[in-house]
Amino acid sequence: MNLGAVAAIVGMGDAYANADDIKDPLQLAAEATYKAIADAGIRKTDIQSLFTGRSPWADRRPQWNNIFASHIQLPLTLSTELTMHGAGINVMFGLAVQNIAAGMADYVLCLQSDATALFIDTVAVGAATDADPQFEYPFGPIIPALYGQVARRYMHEYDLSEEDFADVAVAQQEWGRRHPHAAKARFGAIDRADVLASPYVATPLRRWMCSTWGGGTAGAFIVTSVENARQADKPLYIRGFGSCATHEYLSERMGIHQMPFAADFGALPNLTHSGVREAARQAYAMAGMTASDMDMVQMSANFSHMALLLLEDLGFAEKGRAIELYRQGRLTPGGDLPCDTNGGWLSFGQPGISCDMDTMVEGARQLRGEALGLQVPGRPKTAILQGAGGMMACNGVTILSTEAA
Amino acid sequence: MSEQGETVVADRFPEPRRTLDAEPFWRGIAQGRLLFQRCGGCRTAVWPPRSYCPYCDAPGLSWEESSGTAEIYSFSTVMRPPTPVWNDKAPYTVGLVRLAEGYYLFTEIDEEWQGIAIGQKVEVTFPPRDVPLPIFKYARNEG
Ligand SMILES: [Zn+2]
Repeated sequence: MNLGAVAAIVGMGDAYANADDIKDPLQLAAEATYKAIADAGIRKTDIQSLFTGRSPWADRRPQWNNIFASHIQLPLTLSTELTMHGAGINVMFGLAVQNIAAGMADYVLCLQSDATALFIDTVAVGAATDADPQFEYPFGPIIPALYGQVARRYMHEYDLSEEDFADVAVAQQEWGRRHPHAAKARFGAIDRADVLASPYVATPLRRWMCSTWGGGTAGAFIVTSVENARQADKPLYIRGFGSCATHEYLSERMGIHQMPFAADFGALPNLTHSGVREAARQAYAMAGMTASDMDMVQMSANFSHMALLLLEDLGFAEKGRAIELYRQGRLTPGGDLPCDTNGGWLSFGQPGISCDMDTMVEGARQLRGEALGLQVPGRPKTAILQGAGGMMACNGVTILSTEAA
Repeated sequence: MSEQGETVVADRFPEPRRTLDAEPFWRGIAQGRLLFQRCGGCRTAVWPPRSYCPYCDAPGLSWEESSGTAEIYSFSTVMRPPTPVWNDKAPYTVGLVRLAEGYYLFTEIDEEWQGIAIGQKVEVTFPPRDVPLPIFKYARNEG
């Protein structure tokens, strides 16, 4: 499928909460939505469709999409949660394009909010949610111990070290310390020794190699047709999108002997090649682009090793070689491939399911030249935005550009 | 029973949320036997338990007893447990092991955490616990 640029983002809004300024997911979502509507210059009643990711951790009522729509009194023709774990938040932009391409909607609202750590016991609920309740959770894993399985294999297969993982955390913090809402900004600059001195959470992952939860965030986007976008101030064209879900629980991934996708997943089973490979392949093909056409990358790296693995799966390096991008300084401020410019999940934090939306917000703000933290100089034109969910389970990739073609 | 992801019972070890497909496995565990499924069509070892073979889609998976010998595929030692009931146990190691029959099982590797490495030979044990589970230790002939 090559839809070209069928649709564009014409309005965006974001909202933030922290321990001194507590807001719940409904409040965050309402604030972001009304900002996005105003930014797009439309009326609430111009919206026909609402897509959200799955319900926020801090408000897990089913059909949260409909709860929110009713909360702001927004009657709709279509409304749904896209529950590819958190990746659904990235994937819903592609769904919005399809909805618009089919002529079923003029304006689509893509929305997510969460404020996990402000409301629930994140460690306990996190592990209980993401581990297999039958064959994993009874052994007492936490999420870092599940991703730790991936980290240990990645180190083993590609001869990487804790020092390499530390360098990723240092690079992410270079962006994060300059962002007003980054959960780890208050720690300032760090170096490799700081990372290696931090305690293990679950081996081989030390505290600085792990994301933190953070406060609360929301992002809202108004998507419309390219025709409607002609009146917009700073439209962002959705040039490509792709998605891929390979499994649910991590150990189920070890039972997969074959993948029915065009992308190369390496020798199976493995824990080192994610479905991002296939999602990115689809998005690049649709956009008629490759990784070398990207001015910027925003990812869902919840742990240091995942940044490396994802950069490889997005096509920026051969498997096992993404550490070179860090060693060459290409991803940090001043580099030619700005990456996770809000600090990414590692330094910005994961406020909850909305962390996948924070990636979209940061990408859009940078492309519009409106970064809240460090703006990439020269205003990047084209960015690849990647969202993940579950235990390396579900993946979405979206390519945004300031140019329609 | 706690509903997954909504509330967490923090004062006791979690019980497996059993599926009907897996009942023979859990009956085996109660008897100190490690069972897994094999497909009658393509002969592939199947894990976790299902009602159809995921490889050739045939119905009629049969149960076999595993040798219980395995090799460590990956592992991670938990320093900060999910709930307080685990605190006295930490640090403990969870990992993926590859059974001799060719399937991979998520488990606990009950050994001193600093010495654990990929590729080590391990074998199943059934230590007495509040919640009976298959736990792996270094294979005895490995010393
Ligand atoms: Zn079969």
